[in-house]
Amino acid sequence: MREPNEKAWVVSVLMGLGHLRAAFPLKDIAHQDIVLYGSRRFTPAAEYRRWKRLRRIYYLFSRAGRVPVLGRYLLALMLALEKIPPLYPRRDRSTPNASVRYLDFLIRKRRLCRALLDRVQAPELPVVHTFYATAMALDKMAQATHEQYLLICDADVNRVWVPRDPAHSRLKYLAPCSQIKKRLMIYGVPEGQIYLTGFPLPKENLGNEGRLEILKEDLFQRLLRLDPMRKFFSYHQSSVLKWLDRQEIPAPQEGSFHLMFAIGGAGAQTEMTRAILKSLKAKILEGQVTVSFSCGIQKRVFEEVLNVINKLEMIGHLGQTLEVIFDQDVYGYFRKFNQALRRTDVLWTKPSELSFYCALGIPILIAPPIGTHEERNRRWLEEIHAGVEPAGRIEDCREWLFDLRDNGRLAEAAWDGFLKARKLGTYKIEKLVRTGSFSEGRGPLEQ
Amino acid sequence: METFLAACLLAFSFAVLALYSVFTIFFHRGKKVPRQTFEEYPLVSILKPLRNFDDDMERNFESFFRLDYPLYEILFAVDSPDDPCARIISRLRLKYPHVPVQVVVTGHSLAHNPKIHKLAQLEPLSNGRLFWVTDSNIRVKADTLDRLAQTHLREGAKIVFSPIRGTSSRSLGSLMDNAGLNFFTSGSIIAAWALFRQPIIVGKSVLIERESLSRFGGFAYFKNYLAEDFLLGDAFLKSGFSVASDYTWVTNVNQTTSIKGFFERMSRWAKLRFHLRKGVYLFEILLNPVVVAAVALPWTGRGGWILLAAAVSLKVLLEYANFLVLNNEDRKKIWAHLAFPAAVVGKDVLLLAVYLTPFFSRTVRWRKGKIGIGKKTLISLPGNTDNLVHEGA
Repeated sequence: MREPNEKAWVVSVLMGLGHLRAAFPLKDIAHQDIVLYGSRRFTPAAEYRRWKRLRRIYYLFSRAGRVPVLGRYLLALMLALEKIPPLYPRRDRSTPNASVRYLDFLIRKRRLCRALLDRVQAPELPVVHTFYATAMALDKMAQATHEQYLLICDADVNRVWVPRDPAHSRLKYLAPCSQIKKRLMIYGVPEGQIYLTGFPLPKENLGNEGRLEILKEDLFQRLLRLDPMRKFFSYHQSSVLKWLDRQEIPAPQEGSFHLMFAIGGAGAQTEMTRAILKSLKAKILEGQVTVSFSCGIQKRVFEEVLNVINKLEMIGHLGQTLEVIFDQDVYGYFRKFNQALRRTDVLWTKPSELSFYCALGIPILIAPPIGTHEERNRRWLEEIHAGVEPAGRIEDCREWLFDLRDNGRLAEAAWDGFLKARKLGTYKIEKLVRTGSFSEGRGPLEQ
Repeated sequence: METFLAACLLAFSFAVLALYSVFTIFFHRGKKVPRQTFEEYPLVSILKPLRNFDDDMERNFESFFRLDYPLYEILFAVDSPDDPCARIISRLRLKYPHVPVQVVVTGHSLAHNPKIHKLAQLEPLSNGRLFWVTDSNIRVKADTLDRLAQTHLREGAKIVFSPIRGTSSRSLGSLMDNAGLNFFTSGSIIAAWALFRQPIIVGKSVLIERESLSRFGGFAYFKNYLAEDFLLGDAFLKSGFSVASDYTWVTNVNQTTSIKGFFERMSRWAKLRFHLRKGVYLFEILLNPVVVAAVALPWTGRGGWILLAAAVSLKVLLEYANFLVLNNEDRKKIWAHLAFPAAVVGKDVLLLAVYLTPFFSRTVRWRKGKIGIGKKTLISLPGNTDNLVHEGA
């Protein structure tokens, strides 16, 4: 057992919101502040420009579907770069691919993330990364004493998340699900360096580690709203009462439920907003459903959503049955998002890192994935039954969304997510980083 | 061939400038709209962010105490309690006790847009359904607010903007500055709106509906950007809120600006325009026919000199017509008539230097401070690095 650390360096990047969203719940152990590498504050000017270029490329790829003519080629290139080999038949996949070699070249020859080493030099604390490039760079450069953790942000990953020579790396991995553990092992990571912690979820949505009182209360109320016909409860009543510490299920009541649509892909899904809102307009006006649009931190996306709301003459409903979640400050946005999640009954999102939020007992309505990682996240969601595929065209969601609710399918997905996905990632990572001790836990309330 | 090409460019340039001239003259009293009577007039909060002294400030302020509008309040934002502007406001308060006035000490910020910093602090203290944001060097007629509110009520406009009339010149620099405001700035504002329904909003006077602004989270939405006025219009338009103008002019009192002051302000505006719309900015130089003709000289030979002389004469004539109609104070001054041709030519030559500044500098001088700007005029001060605003990616 080593000396406990109170704090750690938490290092992330602003490349979409996924990596930073993973880091945000770890803010309590972050020394000073989360190191947002590649941002102006934490990066020297020359390297900042490089990260800015990388970010532009990332956003271009994210919006590939919207780029006329060249879009399909960009998309094909992105898929080729992200390609993940099949897990089965299980065999050694540790040979580095082109992306690994290129990243290695950038670190060795172009001194990528050099300034990061200077920043985390003192005090000497463990470092938790949520992006592979910073982890690889520090793993290569850092002094022997630095303990490095890399948190995986998807249910399956490309080889680039593992260094060129994994057998000689000291990098430890924080895995959000058991599939990742298998994947890392076939990439050559020793099993002892992989911790199946779960994805870090916001504490404000969980409650105390032992009691999970916020999660339980929110989930119970959600299940009641998602199962007005009590179909779900007719199968799962005793299980719900047992795990959520309840005595009885109240009688059915008429009521609305809350749908949140998270606009992802650097705003690539703004068109879906129009279709959803147009379809649900009558239901919103009747008070049968309330809808939130999560716009992230881009003003462009926020203004496009406002435009849709204005065009449909629904601006007067904003703040009542309609809500737009946006903040130019990324942490401000996360706070608002997490707050809104507490009253959210269905999260409609592409299967990004938000897939892991199904552990909060929120059913994920799966929007079309962008890229290989999201395709794998979708598969994972379907495996654990926490994700639901839209039952029809978006334009008809006023029909099938209510059918999914009435037949208890959404409640079931919420319950499966709660039971099967790991909830305690934040607490387990904190404990591991602070003390070095770790236990996977058994059962829904210990994982 | 070269002479022909230069002549074509000049013809294009003058076609646009002639439109500016026609529009500014035609609408010099605003758009004639029959006055309507509404059951209820919205309470208007006039928000005035102040910093330092401006020319004839007391008379500027006083014009807001004498508005012919039933329901309004005035909120002034000052840097510190001993701000010299506060004394002027105290005098006016005594003179016009019926006008509700608040003076708020807000301090000054360079980490965020200094004007938005003040407006965001005035916002929660105000009661109006409409905000009328005006600069300290703006003077208005008694019916200005009524006209703006009428446009808001009649057209359901969430923003009502105005062209700007520069006047009261006492120096060559201010004559240049006022000529630029009356002709190019206001010409662009009116022509862009009349022909393309494209708002060019200059923050010297903007009427904003409070409820619509609140959809963005208030003024603070624009705090990270220096060109808050342009982005305000842009955001409203992109978000589907209607914007309008009936060309109700406001007066920018500009008496003592030096040539250096004129150059600095023009450079600031040029840098903002450059970072807002680079493509449009690159073509802007074509609207300076004096410079186009002068630059073409090495290729156009003798014919070029004739073109230059013609360009100078025509440009002076266009601006002079605008001066005679719009600048009703300065046209009473003989020296202004005599100096006007020199002011126009000097201004246009100076504007070439102004045009080039954004290519070499990203720093803007603002009320004795310096602010670095990036894409869409995002403020990039070292002191602003805590801000995790989406960094223009």
